[in-house]
Amino acid sequence: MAQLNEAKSTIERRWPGLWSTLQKARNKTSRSIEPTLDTPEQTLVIDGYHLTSAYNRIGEARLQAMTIPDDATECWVYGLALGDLPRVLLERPHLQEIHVILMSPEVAYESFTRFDQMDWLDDPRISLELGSAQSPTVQKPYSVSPAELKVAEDGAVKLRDEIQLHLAAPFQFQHHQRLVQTMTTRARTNRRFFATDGDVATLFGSRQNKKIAVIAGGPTLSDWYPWLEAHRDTITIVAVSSALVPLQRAGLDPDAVVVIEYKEAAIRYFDEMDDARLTQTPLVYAPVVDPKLLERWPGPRLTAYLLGRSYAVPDEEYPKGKLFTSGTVTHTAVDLAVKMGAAEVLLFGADFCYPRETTHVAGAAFCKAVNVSRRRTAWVLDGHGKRAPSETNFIGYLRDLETYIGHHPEVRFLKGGRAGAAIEGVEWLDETRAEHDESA
Amino acid sequence: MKALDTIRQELTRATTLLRLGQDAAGNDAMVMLIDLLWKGLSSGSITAPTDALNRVLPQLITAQEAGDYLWVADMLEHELLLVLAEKN
Repeated sequence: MAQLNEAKSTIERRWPGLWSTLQKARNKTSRSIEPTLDTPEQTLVIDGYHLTSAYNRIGEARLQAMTIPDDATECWVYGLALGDLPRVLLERPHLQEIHVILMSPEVAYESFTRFDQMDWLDDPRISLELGSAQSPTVQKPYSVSPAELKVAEDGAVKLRDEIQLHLAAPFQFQHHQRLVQTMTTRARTNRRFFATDGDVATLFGSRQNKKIAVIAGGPTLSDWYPWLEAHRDTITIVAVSSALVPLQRAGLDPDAVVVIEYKEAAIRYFDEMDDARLTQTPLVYAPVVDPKLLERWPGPRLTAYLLGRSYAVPDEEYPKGKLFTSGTVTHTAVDLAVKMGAAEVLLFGADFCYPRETTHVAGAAFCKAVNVSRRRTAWVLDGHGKRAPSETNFIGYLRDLETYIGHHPEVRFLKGGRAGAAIEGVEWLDETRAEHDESA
Repeated sequence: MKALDTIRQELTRATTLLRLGQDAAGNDAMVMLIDLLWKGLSSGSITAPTDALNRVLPQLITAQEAGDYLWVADMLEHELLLVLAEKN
């Protein structure tokens, strides 16, 4: 208790208001936070995650601290955990400022309550800051307490996502590098198509100041079929590969279809398409797609080169328009809509998570149930402000889409499907429904 | 290089990545580690007491499935390695 009082008074003195924030967060949390009882070293288990090693906490902290160069004078520690990281970093005489970012205030409260941290807490080089008060930018050099990232508070989730994407970047880069050869070979094979096919740039500017619906293949798409049908005459529909068949089954034919997937299995998205209804519909494709799909497409084909790492470089002999992606076809479809001149881009099925515990909208190839109880480590906030299970790569795509949208203030973005992820810079269509219904 | 040394190397790679929060890379390394372990046990190049393996491996798998990666790293480093070192 003496140590708790000392920690409390130190925090109250050095960072006024912080202790009561931590205490309030602890009082209202429903998280399970329990100490281990039978491990060589004690730690906390938060909702089933060990907060630190239960065998060698300091050894683990020393390893984590190695991500900060020896000569650094300032650093950021994302996640207090049990205070081991700041403790070992303070051993370095060069370090003058150590920003300890509390990703979960309730965990911080328990950490200070149950573990004595007075050996480092009052050091003038230390500052304690709430993750929810930070901009979602990863400061460098940094080190993390990875388990605390998993239990980050909602207000710090964007920062958490940025950190996790940053941590995953070297692995993703290696993965993409392995794909470069595949993509390059595929693009060479497809030269026979794009040498004579049309250019996506012919669509650019073709829908100036119009409304364009971008239809992705997420589960919430089906909720919006009636709306799409009611507004069909006033909107242009750009569908991504996975949404085509479900959309056709709902009686809606897109004005353009976009495909960028290099995997051969992606052709299954088109297995059950109604060819007769697509003879005038352009397929906007990246040169890396399966040539069998290009052979099969019943309508015109327009080539688009992709702006993004690891995709085959544009073939200078056959210049074509370029579209953005950081890995998902939804980006490409959105960029197409913007380049077509849309004043409003309406997103449907752009969920970036697993609403209703399924992967895709019903009727899409690869649509299957997801065991969400095994997917607790990645989540996004949905349109109701609730956590929705997701994947690290979906979160990356979501954040990249937000960045893209931030670069296009001239376009209004709206979205249907609150069970999907909330997207910064995008309004909810249900809040503006009257306005859109009037214009229908 | 002895089979156990190779396993130890891969195990250290996996635990380092997991403790640094590099989950995808850590899981990838763990798949390789389990593959190496399985091959070693099948070929007889490494041996391990079955009861000890039966105690550690289920805990490892449960923790891995739950995303409790620091516990996975602990199990690998402080339990599995001991089990393997015992007879090799």
